[in-house]
Amino acid sequence: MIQLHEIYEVIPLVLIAFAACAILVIEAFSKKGSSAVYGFSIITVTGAIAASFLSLNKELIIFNQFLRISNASVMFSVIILAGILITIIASKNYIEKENINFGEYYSLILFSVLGMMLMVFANDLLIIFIGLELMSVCFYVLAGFLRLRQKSNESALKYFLLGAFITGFILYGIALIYGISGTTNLAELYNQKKLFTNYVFIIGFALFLIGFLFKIGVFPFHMWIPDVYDGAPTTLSGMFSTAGKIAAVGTILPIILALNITNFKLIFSVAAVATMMYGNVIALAQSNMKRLLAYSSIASAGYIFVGVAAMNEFALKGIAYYLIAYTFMQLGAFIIVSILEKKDDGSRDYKNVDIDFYKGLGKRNPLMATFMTIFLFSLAGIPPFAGFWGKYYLFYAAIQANLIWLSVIGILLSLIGVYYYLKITVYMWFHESTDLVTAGYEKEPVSRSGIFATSLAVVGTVVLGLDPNMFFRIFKMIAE
Amino acid sequence: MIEINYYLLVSAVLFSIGVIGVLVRRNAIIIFMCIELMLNSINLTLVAFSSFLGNINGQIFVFIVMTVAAAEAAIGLAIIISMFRNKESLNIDEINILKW
Amino acid sequence: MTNELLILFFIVGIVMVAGGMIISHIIAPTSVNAVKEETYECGIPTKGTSKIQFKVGYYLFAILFLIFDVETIFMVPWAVVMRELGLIAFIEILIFLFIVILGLLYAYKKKALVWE
Repeated sequence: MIQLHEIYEVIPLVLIAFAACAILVIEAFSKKGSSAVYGFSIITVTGAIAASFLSLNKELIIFNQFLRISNASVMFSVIILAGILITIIASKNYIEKENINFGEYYSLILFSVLGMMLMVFANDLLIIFIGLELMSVCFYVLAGFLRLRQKSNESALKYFLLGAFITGFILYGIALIYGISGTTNLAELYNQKKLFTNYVFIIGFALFLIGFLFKIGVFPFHMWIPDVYDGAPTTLSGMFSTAGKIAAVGTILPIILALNITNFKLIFSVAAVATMMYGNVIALAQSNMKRLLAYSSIASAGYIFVGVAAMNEFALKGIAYYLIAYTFMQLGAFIIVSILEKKDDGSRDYKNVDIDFYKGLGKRNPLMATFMTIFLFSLAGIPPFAGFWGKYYLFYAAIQANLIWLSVIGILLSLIGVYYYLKITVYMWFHESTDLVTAGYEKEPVSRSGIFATSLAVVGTVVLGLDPNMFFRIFKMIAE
Repeated sequence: MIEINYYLLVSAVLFSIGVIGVLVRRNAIIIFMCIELMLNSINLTLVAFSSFLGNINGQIFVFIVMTVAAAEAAIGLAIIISMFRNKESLNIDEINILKW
Repeated sequence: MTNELLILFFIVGIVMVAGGMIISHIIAPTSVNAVKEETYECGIPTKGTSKIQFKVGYYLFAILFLIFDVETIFMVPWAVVMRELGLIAFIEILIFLFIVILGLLYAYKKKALVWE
């Protein structure tokens, strides 16, 4: 039976669910509610982050064993919420620019966050499924939010068809797991021995895993990522590539660690190598900034899977650190692309997202160029930025797990990545702007919300880079 | 009393038909119907296991799956309609402006 | 024993249906002409192609129906065991209904329910 006091443990979830519904009602009843909705959603997410810290240092299983509160899940949910907060802050000027200034935008984002947090707090396959679908369904709509633009439509349709297809696989996996183990509860599942001697269970678990590899974008299941991120509204591409992936990693990682499936180590290693290679090599040939960042996010999924393959306690720490660094740098880079994007002029295509547009950006817009340089250096893994320490911890974890070959290959492949990140940096600072670009540039409005959001991301990237232990120290401090 | 294996076989066959349908058909709506077929075959699996194990969890799962399938159908149809308005075609071979 | 009955039932069923169709095909008088091959539309000549566009309003109703149709799936199991579950389940179903009604309210204010 549900105890009422258990609601105190899930205040962040309740807050977000309430706010998401409230925004829909506000939007329906007020004529010009959008700016109020913007402030309201920022306050909600900030409140949810603060409330998350209340649940630290509790190892609880609540709501009929459906939810589990642990330090790891709280940490993942805080990282997700931080990403969402930056996305929401940056969105205001962007959606005004693109003429999609509807309150539903924020409501859908909040509903998707609810799904993500349900996923990371889940202690039952049922809740994982509900959370995953809540997240995905909101993402399908958000990808097609620019409904007059063919690219956005196409991205939504591709995302939807592939996502729903993969949902079928996840569900079939869950059905087989349930059939063999007789339970959908994760804690009970962990207690059962000899599950992996049953080949039907292995098939079920593999199907379940495939679904999550798809959501994270690991090698054979990555093909949707560039198309979807290219076509979706730019701030939202940033959100899909950070918050969405973090939720999937935060759900599957504790399961992999708890089941301790060392047999899968080789599979994960190969997937990690293939993903890093694919992302980094194909990114070299890209001429569209959104696509380049999409491939860079595939490469990042590869780095994360180096940690997953390691499967030790360093890996959990390394992945958490990499994810928070990745949130700041990847989201920051996408937001800068969204700031520089041209205002909607009815042409039904994204303008000014080509790499050529970034030539001479250092002279035209020094602030944005500096920020972009910081994010790109961090993504490339150049010290002293956060991305460097993220990769360092991940490869360190792999070395500790006797996967030295994996970390060597990983380091070599991330050196390929340095090339295309530096290419853009060189374009920004050492090339002249093309005439076509300078002609229309000065008229662009300044995006205050975007600049504020990217400043937050820059602070995160730099501070975490200068003091890599700070993130864990803050958690420890609040916990005590 | 029919053995559980028959139920599982039927649902596996239905699931495979759905998967093949998704892979070979070219109309977005039909692909979507094949996905629904996959979800419903999984419902059959879950109910069969639930009855076999004497455990109610599987049937509760079926409720949730049906609800989610309805939500997905609503979203999917809306996306397909908005695509059709811009493109006037549902053939997924023609939906090709995003590549490389 | 039951298997044999089942097979017999199958065979008889097939023979009855197929036999009826074959016999009627053989003995029925047939006539082929242009008017008979035309699409039937209440006896008047057909106009235009069969691929016409429907008003978009229908889609909205269909989508809304899809959502509100499925809510019953949670109501009926609750209603069956309402007494045993007691007050907390009642409050939960009220919360659920409240959320559904919020959705309906949203659809109403966005004029999705207006037939134009």
